[in-house]
Amino acid sequence: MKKTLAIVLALAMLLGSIGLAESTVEVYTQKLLDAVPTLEKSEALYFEDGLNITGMGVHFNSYPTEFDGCFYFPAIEKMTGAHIGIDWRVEDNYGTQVATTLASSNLPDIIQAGDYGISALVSEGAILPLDDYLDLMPNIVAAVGENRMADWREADGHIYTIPTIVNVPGSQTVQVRKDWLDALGLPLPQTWEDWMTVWRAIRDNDCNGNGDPTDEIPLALEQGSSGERSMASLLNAFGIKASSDCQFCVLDDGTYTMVYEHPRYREFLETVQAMYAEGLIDQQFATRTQSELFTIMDTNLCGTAMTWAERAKLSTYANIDAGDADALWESVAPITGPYGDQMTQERAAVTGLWSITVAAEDKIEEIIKVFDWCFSPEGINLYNYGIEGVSYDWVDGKAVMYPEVVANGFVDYRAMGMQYEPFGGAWQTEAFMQGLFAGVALEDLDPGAASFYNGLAVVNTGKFYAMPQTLETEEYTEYRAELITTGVCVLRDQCVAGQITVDEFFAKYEALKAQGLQEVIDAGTAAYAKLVGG
Amino acid sequence: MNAAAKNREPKQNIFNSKRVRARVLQNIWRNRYIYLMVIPVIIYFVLLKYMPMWFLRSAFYDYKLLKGFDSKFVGLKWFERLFTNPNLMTYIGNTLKLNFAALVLLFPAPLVFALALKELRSKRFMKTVQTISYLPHFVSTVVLVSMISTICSPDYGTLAKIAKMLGTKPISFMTIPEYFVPVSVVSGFWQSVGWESVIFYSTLMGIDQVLYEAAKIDGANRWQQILHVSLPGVANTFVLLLIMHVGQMLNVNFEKVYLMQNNLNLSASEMLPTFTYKTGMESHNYGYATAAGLFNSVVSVALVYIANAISRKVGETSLF
Repeated sequence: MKKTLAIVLALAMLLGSIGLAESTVEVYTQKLLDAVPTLEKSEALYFEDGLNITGMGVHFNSYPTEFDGCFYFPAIEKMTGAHIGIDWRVEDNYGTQVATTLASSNLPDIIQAGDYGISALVSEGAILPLDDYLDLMPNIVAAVGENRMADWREADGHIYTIPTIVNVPGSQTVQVRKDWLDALGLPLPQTWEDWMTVWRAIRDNDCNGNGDPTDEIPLALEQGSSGERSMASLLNAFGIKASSDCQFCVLDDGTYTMVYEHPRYREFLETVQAMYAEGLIDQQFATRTQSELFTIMDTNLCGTAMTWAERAKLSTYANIDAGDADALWESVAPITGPYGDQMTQERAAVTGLWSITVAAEDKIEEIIKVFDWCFSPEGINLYNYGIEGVSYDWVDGKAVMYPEVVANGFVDYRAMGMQYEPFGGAWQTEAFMQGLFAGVALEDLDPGAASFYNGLAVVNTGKFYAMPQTLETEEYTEYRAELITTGVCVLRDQCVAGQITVDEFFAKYEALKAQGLQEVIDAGTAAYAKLVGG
Repeated sequence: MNAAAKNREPKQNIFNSKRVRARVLQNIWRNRYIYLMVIPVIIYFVLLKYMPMWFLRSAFYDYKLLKGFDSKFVGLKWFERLFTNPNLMTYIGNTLKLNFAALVLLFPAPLVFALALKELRSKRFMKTVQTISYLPHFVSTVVLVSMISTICSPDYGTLAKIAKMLGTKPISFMTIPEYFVPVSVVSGFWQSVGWESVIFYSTLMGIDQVLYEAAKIDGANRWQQILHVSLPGVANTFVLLLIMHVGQMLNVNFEKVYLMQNNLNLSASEMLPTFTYKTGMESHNYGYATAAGLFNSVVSVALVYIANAISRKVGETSLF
């Protein structure tokens, strides 16, 4: 009895000590925080009398906040004298939270529009145009680049935001269960016919080996935030260069319009409708949220999908952990369409993030200078690598992060506060790659991690198209909910599911145009022409 | 003084009498705690029900949150847009369809359940059933809808598994418009029948036992006691609740409907309250949303009047 008690106590103490041991993230978070007082004042910018900037923005769970001891904001304050205090909000219903803030008339100095929309903030008269201050932000202008200025501007031609810049074109990729294809004796698909063969084979066979040959989903489609994204991979296969929400595209003659105006759209719709009827497309495509997509990828229920490249690694690991040792989600090149089109959306490099509100009109120049400093070499290093001697060192003129910092890929790296995406900045591809490889050489990556890398940097190379942004014109803002998300998107999905015919779809689409959708199209076309024309 | 002259004499304001005033004040002081308890309710109604009515004016403005009523006045623009919206009748139709189904199938269910509970002989069993039936009421709408989605999922849902066991193809209940109302009503039945039976049960318990004794002496069996004592005893409560329910007919269980919506069932699930929400909170068109909400309220008031009038004529019981 005494022996058993002693063993139990010893085990409890051992487990307790393991629990109490500081994680790498905690150790480095503290190290970085401890190093903040040692930072030198920036020679490029320092506010001797201090500067206080208040803000409101969206926070993602994978990052710490300043309240959790994140080094990033104290470091900016130590180096520039500017205190940035952000009221971080959760992503859910962020638009409603912005509305509440507007209604209170108690605006912070800087604000993220989030799903409230920049054009809606402009329409409220809540934010200031920044066009007249470009000379105060040379680093930001240089980071955006001359050829991407149009991406920075809003539909009315003005600049209202401080951007975040990600110079990594890949993000999403088509993924296939390679082990299923091997078991079926099929090669990776190259042509449209190959893809159809693969999808039919997945539909007709018990690929997951659970004894039920009917539960495999050949092609799973993700719904997106409001149902707009689900068709991206197939639209691209039909040569339709759609915007991120799959509602707009640029035609070959350079006209910006809705995807439904594309000469191939009818054929696309007929094909997808037939695929749905044949059981090749996820029957739940209209309700399949991203987390549900991940669930079916992790649980042997689908054979092909298009989603974040990182999922190739995570879902492979999930299936292996569940006992399927051969599981592999292989990242492959975009689906080739019936006419040989093969393309995928390039991640938007320039994304507007922070707007300066009318409440900060008297200190707009100072705020812009702080943001511009974040895009300076000093700011970029702080954002991407942390603090020299603490999280990275210079080796042959290159910043190299310590192995412990990137040992767990992006997970720990971000949890320590680096590449602080909720605040934004200029992502450095080099830092991104160090996080991606987690200190392992390319040839040493396991198949899941290699698939992630391939999805980001290999299989889509040369197949990216510059994704047109969704131009938030006044007309778009006014009619979006009524005529787009609950209008034409609904008709499209009803048509795919066979609830209405393709002809009925187009008849109803024309009726929506008469209700105001034509105004949205015309305003978008005009705004795009103006933006591209400079 | 004759009676006619007495009637012509100006009525004396009873509050002029010091004695009466003192008695009223004394009464208030004696019941001060009850009056205190009423204050939060009054504050609630003033702040959240009456004061917002002042903002109904925004239906006539291109309302901007920062500008308030300095926003541009647009007159009846939003009402014109609402009434020329070709989908308006579909929204109203969907709303009424769901509520009518709920009225017919769900509204009498708590009464039947309460009657059944009352007839149970074992008090312990009755209390157990009562407690279990209350529990679903405390499940949040978000959890309820995710439970519905999981149960109805044709990939891994319980219903799909049963269908496969029976050798049939699973039905995608959440994406076929025809199933929207049945799924909503059945899940509503599970969630609300226990809780909503509380009012009927307490009314039934309040019926004088002497009436039952008298019925027994007259030879009434249990069924006849229900028919001739219990049901007349709850009739007034039933009618009052029915009128109030009719008044809420256009105010569907918004959260549940909104969460159950998807592009494939929207032809059956888009209703006036969800349309109003999307117009206001997703499109930030507050004026238009207020106009839609105001229209919703006006129709609701009309429905209350109609239900009240019918009830007064048919059942001789009414709310006002």
